[in-house]
Amino acid sequence: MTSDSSRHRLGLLAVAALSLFGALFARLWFLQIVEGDTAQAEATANTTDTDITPAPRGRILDRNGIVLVDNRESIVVGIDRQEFGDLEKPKQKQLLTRLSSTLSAGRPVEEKVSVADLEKKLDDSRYSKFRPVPVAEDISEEDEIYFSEQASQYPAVVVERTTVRVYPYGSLAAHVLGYVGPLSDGQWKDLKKDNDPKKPYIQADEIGKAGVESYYEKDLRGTPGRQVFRVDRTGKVVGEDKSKRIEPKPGDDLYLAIDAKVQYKAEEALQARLSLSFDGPAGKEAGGLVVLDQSTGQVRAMASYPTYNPADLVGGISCPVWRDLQGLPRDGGDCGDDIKRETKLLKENDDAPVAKLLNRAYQGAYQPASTFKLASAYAALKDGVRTVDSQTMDNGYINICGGDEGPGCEKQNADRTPHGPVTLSPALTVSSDVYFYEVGRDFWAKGTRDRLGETAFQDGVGELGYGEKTGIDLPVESAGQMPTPQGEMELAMALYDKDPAYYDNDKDLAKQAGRWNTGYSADMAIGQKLTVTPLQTANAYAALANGGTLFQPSVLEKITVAGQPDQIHRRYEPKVIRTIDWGPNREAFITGFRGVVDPSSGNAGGTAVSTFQGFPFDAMPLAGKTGTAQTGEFKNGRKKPDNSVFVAFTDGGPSSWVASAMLEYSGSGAGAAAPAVRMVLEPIADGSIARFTIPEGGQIDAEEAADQSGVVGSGSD
Amino acid sequence: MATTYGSTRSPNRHRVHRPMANFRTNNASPFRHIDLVLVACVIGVSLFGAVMVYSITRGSEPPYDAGYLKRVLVFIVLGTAIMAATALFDYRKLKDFWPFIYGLSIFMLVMVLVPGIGSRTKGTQGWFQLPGFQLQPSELAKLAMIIGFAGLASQFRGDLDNSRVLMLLGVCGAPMFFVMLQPDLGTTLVSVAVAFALLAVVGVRGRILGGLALAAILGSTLVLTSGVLKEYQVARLTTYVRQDDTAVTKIDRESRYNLEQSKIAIGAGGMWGQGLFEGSQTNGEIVPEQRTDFIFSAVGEQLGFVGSGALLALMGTIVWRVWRAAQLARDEFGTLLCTGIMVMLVVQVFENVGMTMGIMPITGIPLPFVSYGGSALLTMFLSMGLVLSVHMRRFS
Repeated sequence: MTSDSSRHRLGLLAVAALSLFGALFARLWFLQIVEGDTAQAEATANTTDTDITPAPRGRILDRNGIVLVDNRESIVVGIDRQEFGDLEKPKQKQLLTRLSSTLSAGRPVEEKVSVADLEKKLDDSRYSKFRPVPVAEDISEEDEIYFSEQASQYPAVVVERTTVRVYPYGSLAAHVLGYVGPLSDGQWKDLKKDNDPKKPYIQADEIGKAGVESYYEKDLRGTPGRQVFRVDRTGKVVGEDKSKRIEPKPGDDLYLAIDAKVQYKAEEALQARLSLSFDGPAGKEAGGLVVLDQSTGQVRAMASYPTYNPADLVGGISCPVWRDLQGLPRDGGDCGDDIKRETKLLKENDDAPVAKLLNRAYQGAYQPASTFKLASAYAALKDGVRTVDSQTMDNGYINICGGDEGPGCEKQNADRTPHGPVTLSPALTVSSDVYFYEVGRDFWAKGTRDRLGETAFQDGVGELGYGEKTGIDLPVESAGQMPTPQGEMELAMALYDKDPAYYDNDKDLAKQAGRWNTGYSADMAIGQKLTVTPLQTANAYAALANGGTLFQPSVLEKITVAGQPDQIHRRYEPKVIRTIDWGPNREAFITGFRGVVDPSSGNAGGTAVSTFQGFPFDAMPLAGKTGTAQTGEFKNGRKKPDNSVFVAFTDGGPSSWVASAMLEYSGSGAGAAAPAVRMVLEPIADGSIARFTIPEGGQIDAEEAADQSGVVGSGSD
Repeated sequence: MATTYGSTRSPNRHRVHRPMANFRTNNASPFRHIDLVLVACVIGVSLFGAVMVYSITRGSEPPYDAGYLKRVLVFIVLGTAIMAATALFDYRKLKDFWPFIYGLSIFMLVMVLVPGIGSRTKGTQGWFQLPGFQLQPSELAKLAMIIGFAGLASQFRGDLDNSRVLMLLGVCGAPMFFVMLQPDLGTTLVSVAVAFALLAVVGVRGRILGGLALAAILGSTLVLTSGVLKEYQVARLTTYVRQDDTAVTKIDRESRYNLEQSKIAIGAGGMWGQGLFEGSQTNGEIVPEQRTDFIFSAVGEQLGFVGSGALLALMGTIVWRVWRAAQLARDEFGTLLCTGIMVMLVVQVFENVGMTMGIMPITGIPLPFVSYGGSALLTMFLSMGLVLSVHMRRFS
């Protein structure tokens, strides 16, 4: 057939065929030439399977080699959430029932795992999405073999051997050590951008979450082992690329500057004195205590209460544990919005829970009260507002503003006790508030302001490190709060802008509220209107005690090759923030602070003399300062109990210590914080600490320790 | 009486029937018109395919497995013989035989659906398990449909009323129906395209063709949504539309995997390819079904744009020669035969290569002459034999 129409149609067919071939060529060009490079990279990744063996983290030891954090192998049973989700409903139920009975077999009642427990854990959003949810730890090797033999019976169940952190002394130094946990989404995002080429993270990895585990993550983290296998489509291994093999290498050992025995004593003392003196709502007992070596700035002990056992946090934090760490009852709601809601409710009732993860020694900011007089005096002498010999008449009270700056112009000593005429040194010993109210007042006096500027006081005390972070090698440090005239005004304006009703829609009222006045300066001078961390206080006093060096505190002694204490990668090197020139006035400070604790030092009427009665001053010449911080009122109008503050330092003698303590709602400085510090320093002074061994598991019996100490805290301020 | 001259020359001027001599001297002899380009391309592409099958199946490390290669070579030899035999056979005799061939093919399509007689692989009831060989009747049925259509249509001699068009549609529809029951989507798809092209070439009016196209679209929508197809088949068909989304269901993930790996393999070839036997996707057996449906991904990876382009060019040449044979054929029967075969070839190449590159849905269609698979290969050689037969006899 050769009709024209048929030819015509065959021609169309040819065009169609040509265009189809053209499409194929175009696509081929796109895939192979335009996008070829991407595909090549993907093809390479396709044929290899990289097996990563996590390496154990380095151990954490105290300065004398006592192991605080170790590793052990644990056989963990987990459920892979994704695989579990792929199962059909009846299969899921069946699996949980079977798993529950297997895990419960032969276990004591309290360790039995019910189906409900398993379901709860699977629903618990606190566990990482990228790791199997751990449902049982430390199962026996027999059980491990059983699970691997019966793998088909247990779909989605993962049994793996992992290295987990162990804490031989329980909660000892928990806040310094911190804990490890699975990478959070945010951390993983950051890491993906900037992954460590030597020790690359994978999404299922654990990372230090707090304390030195976090700060020294790079050192503690081991180098993961890596084996690159060639695999076929089904994932079957066909060979290994030996050239790419990396053996796992444990992380470096971290020797802390902390002395475990002193640490134990510090935690024991803190808890003992809280148990005796705490006067606030039950469950809100809290405090911090830090001990420094004044000659190096190293931390010898850092205690915080309430505390926790990092062992409970191993392998991911379950919801009840997380609630407990927030200070909430373990069983009472989930961990998302419930926690926020409950916390808010509690805050409204003044029963705000005390979070356990906070390290109050350097993350908690409190009014330093009279312990701040060191800084006030330093600023006053430096700026010539006072001389060492300037005398103030202390009648027990003072009107600081001549009546033109509203109410609150009359300020008084504790209990309105008059101290008579005082110069700097006795003013420190007896803790004369009147003396320092006047110092504060004079800093804000028109003449001084014109001469030195509005923030002369803040600048002066700031030289001792107040108002700025000390730079300690621990994460998320608080700098405390140092109010300034400018800052107050900005705050008032910001409040007004946010909600004008707060100031009755009157901007002038807001301005007036934000205006600095003499009272503020006076309050600051006695350590009331600002907050500082116990660590800042300790560091400032260390700079006095050591003659004028303000160190950057550190918890580090050395970092060594795992298991080889002599193979040192890095050793602590003191870092100086600045040098303080005490000049000839240092003696007045020392005498003043010596008098606080030691009646034989020259000044009489020391606020903590009775607390330190019988202290071996010969072996450890000691000086100190009490502080009693007013904390305002509860919502119901009841006055809140005072916070008890105390700081002490050795003045000469064979060792050089500074100890700073803060106990919330525990009364006067001499009554709670001072005895706590004495309980820490006395065993060092009399040498009994050398014979002391830390109880197994780091157990602390606070009340027993309080009874045994025989220290009676008494005195005012 | 003695003659003094010309004893070497026959005094009888009438030709003695001697084929070889005929081939040399007689312009009208079929043997003068064998399409050598077509023959060379067909054998070339087949050998090319044999090498590719070997590269996929030999294993990544010695000792290499030549089992598949040997089988392919056996089929190529067998196929060439069948092609030659078919070429020698005068296609015009099919004008009388076509009902038998067509009927036999329908019979086989029915028989293969009977459990116990036909056997089932990957959800498709489509094979006769013969000793040493699996016969796939749907492959032969495509050709039988073309022969049937050409036979019937040439009887109508261009005079097409509605009932005749209906008859032609019936000829096309019957095998499709049974193939659909297996179900073998790929073959059905090819058959639809072939039937459509044949109807167009035979002269069915545009309005009817448009209606048919509409019906085909509606029909396929119905098939996709009615639940006749298994979930995995729908997923395979539709996955290419959403190839850059995230796969949600397990079935989606699996069919997506096939496509992704194939695209990676082809892309990894780049301009010059990874080199024969060198493809990591191929050697790692990462692309599923690679020696059959996804063989083009191996070509792309190992031989690159240059190699796979050359393969497509060879395929194009074959298509061109078949198209040329359709044009030159001396009767409508020959034209229709060649047209059907050409469309079958084009659609299969486009669908197969297209699906490995993600521009066509994934269906189980082999790449002509290249994919491993005896029935398909023999059907292709048989078709080429028919084309040669038509082409050779265009003057006789």
